[in-house]
Parts: sequence; structure tokens; C-alpha cells
Amino acid sequence: MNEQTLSKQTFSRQTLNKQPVGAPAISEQAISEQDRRRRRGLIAFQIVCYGYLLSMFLIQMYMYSTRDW
Amino acid sequence: MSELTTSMSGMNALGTHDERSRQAQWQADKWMMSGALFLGSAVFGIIGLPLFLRGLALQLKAQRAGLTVRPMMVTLIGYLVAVDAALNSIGWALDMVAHHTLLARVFLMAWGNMFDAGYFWHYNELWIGGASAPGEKAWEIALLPLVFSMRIAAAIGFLQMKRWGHQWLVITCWFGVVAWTGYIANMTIFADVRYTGVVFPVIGWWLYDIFYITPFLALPYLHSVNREIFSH
Amino acid sequence: MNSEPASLNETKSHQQPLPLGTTPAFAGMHKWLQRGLVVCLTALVLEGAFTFPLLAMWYGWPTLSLQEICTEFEKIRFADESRVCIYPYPLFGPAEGAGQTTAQDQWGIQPRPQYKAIGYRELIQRVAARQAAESTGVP
Repeated sequence: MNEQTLSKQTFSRQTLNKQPVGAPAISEQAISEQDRRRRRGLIAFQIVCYGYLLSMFLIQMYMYSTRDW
Repeated sequence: MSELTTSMSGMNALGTHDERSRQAQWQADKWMMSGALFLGSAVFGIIGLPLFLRGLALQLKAQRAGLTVRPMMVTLIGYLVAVDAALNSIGWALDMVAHHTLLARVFLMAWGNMFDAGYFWHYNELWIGGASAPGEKAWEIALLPLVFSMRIAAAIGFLQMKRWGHQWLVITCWFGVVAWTGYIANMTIFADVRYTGVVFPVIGWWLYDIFYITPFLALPYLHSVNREIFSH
Repeated sequence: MNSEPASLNETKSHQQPLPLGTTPAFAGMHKWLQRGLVVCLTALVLEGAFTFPLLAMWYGWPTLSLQEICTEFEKIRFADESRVCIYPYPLFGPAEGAGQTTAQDQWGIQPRPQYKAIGYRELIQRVAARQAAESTGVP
């Protein structure tokens, strides 16, 4: 209990890592720095994926406009 | 089926709560599983939809009644990924081993003539039969056993909230990202073969296939969910 | 020790309790993913259910039998009016198109077929025209 209230205030990565394995993740109470970075990474991943799909679609649309399909 | 009472007290009640939750989950799963079987078969999909929706409704009801059932996202991802993989498997298995059946020669080719001439152009001319578009056959051979059948297995473990289910769904969904990336690149490079003389070029294919992007939707969840819930 | 009930209370203190496994950091993302998943599931089901019947209708079923459609596809694909769809096809026979020399393509690093896209129920007219030609050709 004490350790959790502490970590909630400080957000320190050390406290996060010290969490025992079975305990619920700290992120359940507040957004930790690790979660923040993970979220940024996942958003970047999605932008890359959908961006790639969109660019392939646009390339094909460009070809469609120039050819006799 | 079983009516739920909200009175819970003591360890005994906790045990019955667990038991009831498990029963409610199984009840919902029975409907959703039989629905998904039909859904994955494409032609009978419309039979599967009401079955699946009834299961989903049962699951929601159990959730609202306070029972500890599987989270909705896990249910959706598990079944969707399985249905996606099953639909892909059926089409490609037809093309790989049943390319001279009437079914394949009418429906695969009709689909090909409409959206993607990879399934019409010089069809059944290769010694191996089936699609002749450059690279198409190689994708089928690689993806059918490695991605789709493995993903169906992973989805089953995932729905059972098993640790290996979560891990293997991560792996096979990343396979899916590779599959999409490579397949689309191949398609764009050989676009002339794929789209010449087709009824609805480009837009038709994308409208039809874009809904198979399930790995892109599943991966952010799989990487951000609290892994502790997959502990069975 | 009593860390678990504490965290449970914490999640319940939000307006809506978060689903199991979803942390506050990802609540928004998971909501959007769920919407996408529902859209995909619905679309896949509808596609799965309706593609075959609608395709069959576009290409002339039920006026034409499936085998007649198959035959027309084969004539168009290999640009050879003498071809027919053999069904049932002999098991382990060679691929039906193996060694054909009739298909029309503009060959090159990007081969382009010369056949034209098939219009809505156009195959019916093709079959009718051929039957008419046959009946006048052979009195």
C-alpha cells in the first residue's frame, strides 16, 4: 500500500521495476512513463502501417489513371 | 439459461460466482463458436451471423450481471482473427488443391475477373494449377500453413485466455503484417497483370480486401493489454 | 498485501469501469480498436455471405448453369471458342490450360491480357449469340 502511493506520486521507473511479479501493474492507477512511451510507439506503428497501405493504394490509383485497365 | 442472483457472501459464494461465470462464458462460447464455424465458411456466413450475435449478447448480459467473463476485446479479436484466417484459408486452399473443381473455376475466376485478374489470367495453366499471377502461388504456399492455420490455433488459445494463446497471436499477427506488406507490394509491382481487363480494378480490390486488416487492429491491443489476464 | 482491492477500487472510481486488461493509458486506443474490429467483423460476414451469390448473378446465373459460366470463362481466358469446361475434371490430369497457345497477351516484363472486362450478365448474350449462329449455320 505504502509503496504504491509513493510510486503514484513519483512515477519513478525504479519503483516500477521493483514491483513484485504478481502485483497488479502500476499503470492501473496512473499512466506511467513506460506506458506513455509504449503508447507513442504503438501509435507510430499504426501510422506507419496505415500510411503504407494508403500509399500503395494511391500508387495503384495513379497507375489506374494512366493505363487502360 | 441460469438466472443470476446478486447475493454473494463468504468464500462459498465466491466459488459459486466463479462457477456461474464459467458456465455463462461457456454458454456464450457455444453460440459464438458454432457461429464462427459458419462465418469462416464464407457461403454459409449468413447462417452464422445470428448464432454469433446471440453468443455476443449472452456474453454482454453475463458481463452486465457482474460475472467475471472474458473481456469483450479478447472475444472480438479472438473470433475475428479466426474468421479472417478461415476465410483466407478456404479461398487459398481451393486454389491450391481444388483448382479444377467447378466451384473454384466459377467462383475464384468470377472473383478474379471482377477484382483481381491474378485469379483469371492464364488460370490453371501452371503445372501446379490455379492462380498464375507472378508470385501469387508462392504467397499461398508460405502463408496458408504459416500464417492462417497457425493463427486459427493461436486464436483458440487466446480465447481460452492461455498465455501461449496471447504469445502466438502476437507472433502470427506479426506474420500477418509481413504478409500484407509483401502481398500488396507484389500486387502493385505486377499491377498490369492483376488489373487489366478487370471489371472493378483497384477500388474493387481494396474495398473487398481492406477488411482483412485485422492483424493491424489486433497488434496494438495485444501489445498494450495487461498480460497478467492471460494466465490460464 | 491488500494491493489488489486497492487497484480494483481505483478502476471502479472512473465513470465507467475499464474492461479487464485495459489500463487507463490505453482506454482510448482500445475503444477505437474495438470499433474497427466490429466494422471488420460485420464486413467480413457480409462479404462471406453475399460474394458467391452476387458474383454468380453478375455472370449470368441462374439463366446460365455454373458449368456454362465456367465454359465461357475458359473461352475468354484462352481466346479459343472451341474450348469447353470439362467437368468433372479427371483427377491428377494435367492442368486444363497447360501448353495452350491461343491466349492473347501483349507480352513483356509487364504482360497485359487482351481480353475485355465482362459486363453485367454479358455472358448470357454471348451464349445466346453462339446458339443463334449455330442454329442458322446448321439448317
